[in-house]
Amino acid sequence: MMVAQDIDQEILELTQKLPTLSDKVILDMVNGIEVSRDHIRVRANRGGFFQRAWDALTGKSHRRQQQIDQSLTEGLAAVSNYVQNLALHQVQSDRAMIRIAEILYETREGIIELVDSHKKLQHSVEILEHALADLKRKHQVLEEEVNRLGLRQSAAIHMNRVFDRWAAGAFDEYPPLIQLMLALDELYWSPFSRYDATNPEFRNQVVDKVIIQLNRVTGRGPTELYTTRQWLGSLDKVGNVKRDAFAYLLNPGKSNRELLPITTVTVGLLEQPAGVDVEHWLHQNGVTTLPHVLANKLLSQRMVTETALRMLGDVA
Amino acid sequence: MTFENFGLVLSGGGARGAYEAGVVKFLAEQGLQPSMISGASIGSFNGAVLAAASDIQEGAKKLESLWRGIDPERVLKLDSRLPLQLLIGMLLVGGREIATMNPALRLGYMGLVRGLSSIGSIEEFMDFLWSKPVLESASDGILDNRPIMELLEQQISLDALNAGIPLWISVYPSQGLARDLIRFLAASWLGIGNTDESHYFRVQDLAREEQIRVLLASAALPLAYESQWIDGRRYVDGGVGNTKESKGNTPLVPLVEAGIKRCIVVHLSNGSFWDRYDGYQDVEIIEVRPRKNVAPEGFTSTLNFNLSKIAMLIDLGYEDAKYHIGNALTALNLNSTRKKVAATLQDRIQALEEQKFAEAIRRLKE
Repeated sequence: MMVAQDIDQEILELTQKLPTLSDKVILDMVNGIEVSRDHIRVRANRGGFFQRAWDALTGKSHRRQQQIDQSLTEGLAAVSNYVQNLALHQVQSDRAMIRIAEILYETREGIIELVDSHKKLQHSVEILEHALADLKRKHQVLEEEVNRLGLRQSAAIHMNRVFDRWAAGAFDEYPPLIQLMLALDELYWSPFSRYDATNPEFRNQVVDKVIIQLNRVTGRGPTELYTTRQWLGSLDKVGNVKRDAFAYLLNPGKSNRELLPITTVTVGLLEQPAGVDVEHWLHQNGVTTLPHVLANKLLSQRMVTETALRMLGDVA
Repeated sequence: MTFENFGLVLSGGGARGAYEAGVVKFLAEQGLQPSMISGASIGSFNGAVLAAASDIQEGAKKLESLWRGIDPERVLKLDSRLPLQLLIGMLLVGGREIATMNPALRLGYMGLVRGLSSIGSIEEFMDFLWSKPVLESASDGILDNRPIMELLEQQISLDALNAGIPLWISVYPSQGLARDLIRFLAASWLGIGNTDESHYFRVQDLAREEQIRVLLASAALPLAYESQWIDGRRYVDGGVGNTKESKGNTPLVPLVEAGIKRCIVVHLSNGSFWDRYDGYQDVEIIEVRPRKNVAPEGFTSTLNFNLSKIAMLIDLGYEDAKYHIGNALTALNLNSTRKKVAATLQDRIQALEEQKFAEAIRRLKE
């Protein structure tokens, strides 16, 4: 660094010592040459003996030579000044290039530092990215778990609410089979259905609750046998207006009706006017897959299954 | 090309003044507008046309048109009063003037005169000659200046001239025709003695009637045209002043005294002895010198108003201006550009040196 300062000081001293390369110096150099040329041309044209003798006698020859010499001398002085200025300029340019080279070196060093730093930063960012991805994944799992828990809680609340309503006599005006189907339909048209589709942990509990409620409304034990025709015959107690509504409400839709025999038959009978001969209707429609007897427990199990399947079919 | 705030010096040289029309044409093409003009003899005429023009372009057109349309016979109309024996008388008068400069010549001349005349002294002889009507009329010049006056009136509006750029005119204070002529011829041809310095008038400072007289005086070459009275003195062609160094004929002095620092000087003679280093240390000068012989016919070239010669001179003036001014300005521009580039380089390096970058690198290393 000291060396560079010394050079700068030396250049400064040279600059102060050298006369400025003024426009006048330039003009005296460039245009002064033309003055000499003019005189030389005139002198060359006066090469005859008498002309030379006359010019010598009148002193013109001497004066002309004097002007040529003066122009050339002044011109050479200007050239000397010019060359020195050019040399100084060259030194300044070289010094500038050295300084630029130094700055370039510093910059390159800086860039190398920057690259190293960038690489380190990049590595840190990659680690952070992985951590972030992991965090996102965990967050997603947690979110799913929270959703699942929320849904589970919602399903449980709905389950309890539906059975509380049933127990409170909300469906008492209808025959037990219709009560059972309406309660399950209401249950499965709630978040319970979504939760049950992914996790049927409450299904046995629902069956138990249905059995309890059926036992209450039928006044029979869970395994006490009751013929299918009796279950279906009780549908006569539903008036025609409500029959249509229930038939529409409980319709299996696009679901596979073979997997929903009790629902299909019930809806089929509800579509008929009250008082239809069940035995005849079953025979007429070729229904042979129904069990002859259905205890509360079995009916509950089968209807819970059919309702879940019906809801899946509707959703599909 | 840039060359601003410069003065234009237009030398005298009679009919060779057409050369200056060519130089001015080049200046106009390059947009080089002088801020002051000075002229001697025909240079003062050319200068007046330029000074009265609205700009250099208009002046150049007018000047070229004026020169190309000149009528040689009108310009050089001989005065009908000229007697042929005038020349013999002038030789005798001239002899006396030369004789006053050197004792040996004086002795020789006196012997010659005594041999020719019975009159007792040279002074008596001269008084005798000047008292004769022949020489008295010759002192008004052998050429009629009325056509030139008409030309001036037609081509130069004094109103425009007074509103134009400053014009300086070189005139020589006459000491009488014989003395002026002989001192001029002795200095210019024989290299003996010298004429006095010219006087310089700023045209715009003069009364209107004097302005025309100054212009006429500036061109009043002794013996050729009539001298003019200005401010109580008789004046002739300013080109006569300091003949040896051609200072009166190349009137840079008034421009320098007026503060001009840059000049274009136009010469109309071959190998002019005007010296750019004589007293103009602080003035940037571009001389335009004819690069071809502009006076192959000798002194009479000043009166050669032949149109083909004029056309040749205009072209030569243009080409020489292109060469001399072009070369000079190229060199100046080169130097100016070099300075600008050097300054820019320093600025840029200064900018590179700024602490922000070093500080940023330091922070990077932290």
